[in-house]
Amino acid sequence: MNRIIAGHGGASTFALATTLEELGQPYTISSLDLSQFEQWDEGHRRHSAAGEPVVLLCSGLAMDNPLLAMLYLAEAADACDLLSQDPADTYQIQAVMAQLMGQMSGPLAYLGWHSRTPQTVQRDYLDRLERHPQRPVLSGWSAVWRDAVPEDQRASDARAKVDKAMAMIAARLANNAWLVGARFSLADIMAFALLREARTVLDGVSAAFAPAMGQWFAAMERRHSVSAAQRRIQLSGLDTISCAPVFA
Amino acid sequence: MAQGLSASQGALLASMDRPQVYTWDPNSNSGKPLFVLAEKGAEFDYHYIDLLEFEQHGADYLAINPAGTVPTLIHNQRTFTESTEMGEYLDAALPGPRLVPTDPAERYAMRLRCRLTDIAAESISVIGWNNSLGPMVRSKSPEELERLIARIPTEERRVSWRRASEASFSDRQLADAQAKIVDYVRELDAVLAKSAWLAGPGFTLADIMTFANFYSLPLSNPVACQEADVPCFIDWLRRIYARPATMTTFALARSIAMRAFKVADMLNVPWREDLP
Repeated sequence: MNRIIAGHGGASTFALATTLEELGQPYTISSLDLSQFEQWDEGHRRHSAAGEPVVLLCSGLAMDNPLLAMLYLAEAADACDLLSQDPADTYQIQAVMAQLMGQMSGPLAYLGWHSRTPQTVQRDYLDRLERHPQRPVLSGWSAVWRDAVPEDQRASDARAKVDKAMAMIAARLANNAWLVGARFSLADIMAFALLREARTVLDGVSAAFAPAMGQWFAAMERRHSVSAAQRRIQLSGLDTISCAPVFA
Repeated sequence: MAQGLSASQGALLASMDRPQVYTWDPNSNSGKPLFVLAEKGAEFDYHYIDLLEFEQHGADYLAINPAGTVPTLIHNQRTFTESTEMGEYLDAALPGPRLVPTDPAERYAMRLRCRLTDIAAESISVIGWNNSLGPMVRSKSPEELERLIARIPTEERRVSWRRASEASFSDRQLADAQAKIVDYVRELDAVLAKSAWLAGPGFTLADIMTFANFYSLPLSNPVACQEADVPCFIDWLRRIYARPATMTTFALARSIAMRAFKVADMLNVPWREDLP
């Protein structure tokens, strides 16, 4: 039985659940309490040495990279309808997924948590995070850019990244029914999952949809896999926007 | 040649299946497609883009890649700009040895290793920028630097380059980057203690993508890779340096990647005398 272990019901969790629904594969969802740093508990680290908040347990494997886990699921099931036989289209699917995750995932988590979490809760969490011995350290250019952006500019920076990603999605859908090629693929699942989270976290997202994007979004909502994943996540009690920062 | 075509038209048609690679030296992301093509034994056309002269922001290059990033691959009239994913495309599209496992679980492990390397490579890049690339860029006059940065196509990347060209990294940023490199090399060493290559028994894109970022470490960051501390990692470096495709690729170097020959000497890996 496949098992999603997740600390939130955001894009990664939703995308994994939708993929499993598309493949008709059964799964359970277990929750992690990220506010208590359960992702860094010894038990969870057996599944994810890095302490990632979303893990898929499948066929004896523990996969803590949701995007790559989606690719695994589709390839293991030989699901040609989620990928492509054309290497160039397969590249596009992978590239679009990676670009959208890179542009949207972190910024949405930041915006969601900061806008929807009471200040007192934020301060308490950040104090405890600072003292946690397992707290990961951000390094490299990510740390340099984070340090270079004043705190009061981070929200606008994050929103700009999300808007840019949405513009990329809109451009791809302007003349195509799906994000890559002429068929539905994993790229559509990932994009929908991220936009779903964006709509929950940000104001005015749906209103900004270009007509073609609105039509695509509606078509995605009508898919059985999407509504089934939505129900499963709701039943699990996972909140869409409880992904708190791990880099203080 | 098809009847009715001129020689140049015929040559153009023939070249359409020949990969066109626009990139800098065989170093980091720039090097990834070059190493892959060499391992596949593929013929390709190499268009050198000098990052230190900001050629990636010139009008000619922006016409093929409006984002102004390197590398760019053009093949069969399709354009590819993501350096890790383009490796999988090249492996699937071209004949030659397989660099991507057929087993989905091994494929996941390969892709994960590529992702983890990309994260760790940020820290190598910061140290490298602090020690060598940054001073090279800053040797330009402020006016010339500003002129070059003004050509960058997007505001986000102009901000990034401006920050990078001005970057005076804090002690904490440099220390954290160094710690990340040391930890990651030890992680690689632990993996290689259990398997011949980074994603299992076979040489894969995981080895190529990681090597493209870590090939110079014995020279650029010896503290992070003392053979006594990480013997399996050093052995892995030697084995890749000994691959014919590796030194053939480094022979394309005009700038930063030329240090590979010094590293090969440090590792006592012989290379052909006809290479520079």
